Amino acid sequence: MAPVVELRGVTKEFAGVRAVNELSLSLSLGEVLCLLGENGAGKSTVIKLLTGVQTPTRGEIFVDGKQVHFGSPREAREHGIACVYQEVGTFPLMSVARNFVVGAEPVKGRWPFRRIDMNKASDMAISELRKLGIRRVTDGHRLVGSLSGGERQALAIGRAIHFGARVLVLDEPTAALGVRESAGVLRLIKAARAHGVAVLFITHNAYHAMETGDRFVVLRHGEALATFSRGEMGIEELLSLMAGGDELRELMAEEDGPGGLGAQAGMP
Amino acid sequence: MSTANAEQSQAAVRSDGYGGPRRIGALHRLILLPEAGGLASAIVAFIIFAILAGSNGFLSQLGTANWLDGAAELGIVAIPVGTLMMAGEFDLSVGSVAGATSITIAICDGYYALSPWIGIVIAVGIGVAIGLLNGLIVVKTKLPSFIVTLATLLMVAGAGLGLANAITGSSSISAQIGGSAHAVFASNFKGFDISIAWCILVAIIASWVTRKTRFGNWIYATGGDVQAARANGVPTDTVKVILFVCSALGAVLVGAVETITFQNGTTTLGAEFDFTAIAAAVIGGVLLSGGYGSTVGVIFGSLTYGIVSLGVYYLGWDPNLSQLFIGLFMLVAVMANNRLRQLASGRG
Amino acid sequence: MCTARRKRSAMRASALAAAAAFLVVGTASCTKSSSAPTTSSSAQAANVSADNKGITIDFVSGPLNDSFFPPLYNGVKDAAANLGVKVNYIAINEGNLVPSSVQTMQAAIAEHPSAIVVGDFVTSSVDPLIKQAIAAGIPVYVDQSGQESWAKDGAFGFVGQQGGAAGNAAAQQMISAGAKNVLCVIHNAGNPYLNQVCNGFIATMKAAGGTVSELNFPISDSTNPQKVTSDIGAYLASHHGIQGVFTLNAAVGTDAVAALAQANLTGKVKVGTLELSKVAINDVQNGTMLFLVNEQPYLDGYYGVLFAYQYVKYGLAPVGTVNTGPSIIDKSNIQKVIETTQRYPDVLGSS
Repeated sequence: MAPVVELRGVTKEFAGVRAVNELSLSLSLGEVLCLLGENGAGKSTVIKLLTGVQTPTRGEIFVDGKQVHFGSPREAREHGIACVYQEVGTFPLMSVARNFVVGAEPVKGRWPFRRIDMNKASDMAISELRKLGIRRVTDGHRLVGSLSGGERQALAIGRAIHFGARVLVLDEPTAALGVRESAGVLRLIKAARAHGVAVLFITHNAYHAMETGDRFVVLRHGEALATFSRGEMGIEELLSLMAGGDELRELMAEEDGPGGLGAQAGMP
Repeated sequence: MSTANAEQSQAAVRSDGYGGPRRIGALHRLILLPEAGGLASAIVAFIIFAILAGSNGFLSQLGTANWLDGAAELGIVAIPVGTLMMAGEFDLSVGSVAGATSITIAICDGYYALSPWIGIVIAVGIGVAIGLLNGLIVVKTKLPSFIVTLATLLMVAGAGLGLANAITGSSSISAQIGGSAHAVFASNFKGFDISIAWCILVAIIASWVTRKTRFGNWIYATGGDVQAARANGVPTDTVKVILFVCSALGAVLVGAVETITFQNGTTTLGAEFDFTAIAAAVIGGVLLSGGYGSTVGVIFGSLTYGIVSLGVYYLGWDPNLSQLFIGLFMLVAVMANNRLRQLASGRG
Repeated sequence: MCTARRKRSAMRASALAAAAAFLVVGTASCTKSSSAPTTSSSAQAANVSADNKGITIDFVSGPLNDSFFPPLYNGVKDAAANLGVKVNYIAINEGNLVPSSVQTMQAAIAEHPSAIVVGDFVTSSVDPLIKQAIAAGIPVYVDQSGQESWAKDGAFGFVGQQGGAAGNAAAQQMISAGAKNVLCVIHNAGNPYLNQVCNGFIATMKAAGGTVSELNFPISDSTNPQKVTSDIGAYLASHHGIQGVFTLNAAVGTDAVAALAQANLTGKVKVGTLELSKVAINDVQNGTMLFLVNEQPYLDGYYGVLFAYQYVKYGLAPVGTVNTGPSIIDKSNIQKVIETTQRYPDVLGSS
């Protein structure tokens, strides 16, 4: 299947620092791509490039096979790329219905009496949540703050999908959640995939990645250290790779040699 | 919140069935409304003063008109200020705008003997200009609106005083205004000012916009999380600038009402509103951090403040103690409101 | 769950505490200003006090955070206690002068007392209300301010002083001391009474061939001594040739003295002020201040209550205005003032 979004040889430099170097990625509809890596690997820069917050220094971005240039986050959204942030993205003191339609409120009536069709908004919200497997929220007028973290994620994801997102960028959605809630989010990711969207699942939790991913990219220093599909690598190897792999072993080995870490630490 | 609490509330959620709807009674549902705290404060205030001062004239027709007029004047400016707070910003310059309006109308009518409507139109222009100034500076520089409007407060107050002195040699000018301007802004029925009607009008418009329209949803989103709102396509900058213009216009309206009602224009008119408007909003349930609140709540907050600040005159107490009382009451009202909101957001 | 319950009961406890505080404050002050029986022990006095208990007077005047008014309020309290009448002192908020002047008067009218004594500071706003009170059958006595319009409004008398007269008296002092180029410091722009004082000052100075300049600053600054001192000092530094400084309250006056000291101008520039205070009295005694204009606010308060009482009870009142000021205090009569302030600290001015 042709990829819906592609990064080809993308490089991003900030003031002499190269955050992303000659990176190529592709996302296809109905597929989950896991982007793994430690802090500082360049994951957030990739997100910014995909969502139009930043533009590449070199390289191209393609949507549906055509080259695009995102001048603003709104342009990225118009191409169907939506980012769902971890805690941010829902308004705890607003109702589920209002949350769902922020920025795209359905209206009825004529000016000057044009008003939000709150029943429609509520129905939309509840039905999208249901499609993602959340059955327990039935009142669209509940405050989002009374929903659990997983339900809020579902709301944010459901909203993005409903309003035409074809690519979902999920930035560390399970980072602050316990096991049970994380499981709920992983189920959401699978449900979104079943919906037919492309999911970019960014995480530093290898287990979560292995649970849901179809393809994987491990990022290091802005470069793709490894790219593989489901089944091609085991969890142990992935963990080792993420923890530093060969580089860590080399650094530890230097400890015994002259000029190595051991000598630097002042050990005999 | 400690981790123990967080886990406990998570446990509560899980045991309910992964966030299933809890059965809540009718009374509980009422408490969940954002207006609940303000309404409770207003009722309690009224009862206290009815008991302590009812026989002194607080409950008489004149007495009721006394505090109702004061509450209405506060409401006229507190409603737009409160709405701006719901969008996450403060306007401290409203007092100076009211003062500028006052002196403009008084100079036009009292000093130059022009129609007061000319003064009113000029004042509206000044209000729009200052609202735009506040709004644009806040959205372009991202400085806290508290600081920006504090600066505007001082600038406008100083400019008003300087101009008033330069033109007329005084900062307090008599303004005996009659005719149509008086009918519109200061007519009176058995002691009840038309300011009450103006306040109701402002309230109807604000309530409609915030509760029913898309723009209203944008207000809550902007105040709740401006980044997320923008990410969803809400034009947060436009929302804020429009609301800054609205709070300035509220100040212009109350400035006109008070000047023509009290027949005097002064640069210091309305200086109190800088704080009382915010107080009325907070008592009425508007969160200082934005994203929550209601117009009706602000009305209740204004009523509460009107009852308390004017009711003390009927108590016969040592004037020092009345100040203490007002402060204490406000504190308790805000505490009660906070508690109700905790219940509302599910942490009761 | 346990922590939540504890938190809830803590909230309830503090709410109860606050409610208790209200009730204590409420009952305490209720008893504080309600009528006290007279100190006289004769039976006749007991009869009088029984009659007087039915008399209530609403005294609408300035706030106690303005240093002029505590002595006035003490006069009110003393008269109320001595006469055995109930007085409700309703304080106008100077930070919101015009609306507050109206609202306080409206509250007084709504209370329908036996009489209203009012400080008519904003005549254009309050005069109509005086007429309204009289039309409602409440006699009104004008106190301290409103000397031009009280008769037209139908009030039965006036006690206080002419703002202009205070300014005149101050100007005479400056002229006698040889100061012709003088600065008038206005700490509360927009207060009509203070404007009258300054205008009277200017008129008399000009008539004697002198010149007067004005320094305004916002009322919020006037309570900050450092700010006032430096404002005055800055003005003196940039306007050479000032021979005298006249201020409109004692705090600003003592700040002016400080400013002169900082600029090494003590003795070369004369300082005079409206109002008395302990520090200002000392300054007159040691020669750093030339004079004080004593408006005798205690008398304004006492006579206001007394005249209203006599009118309500017997229909008697002094005819026309009763002047309680201005009286000039300088080195020649400072001794008696010092004795009084030591013996009765809150009668002449602030401590």
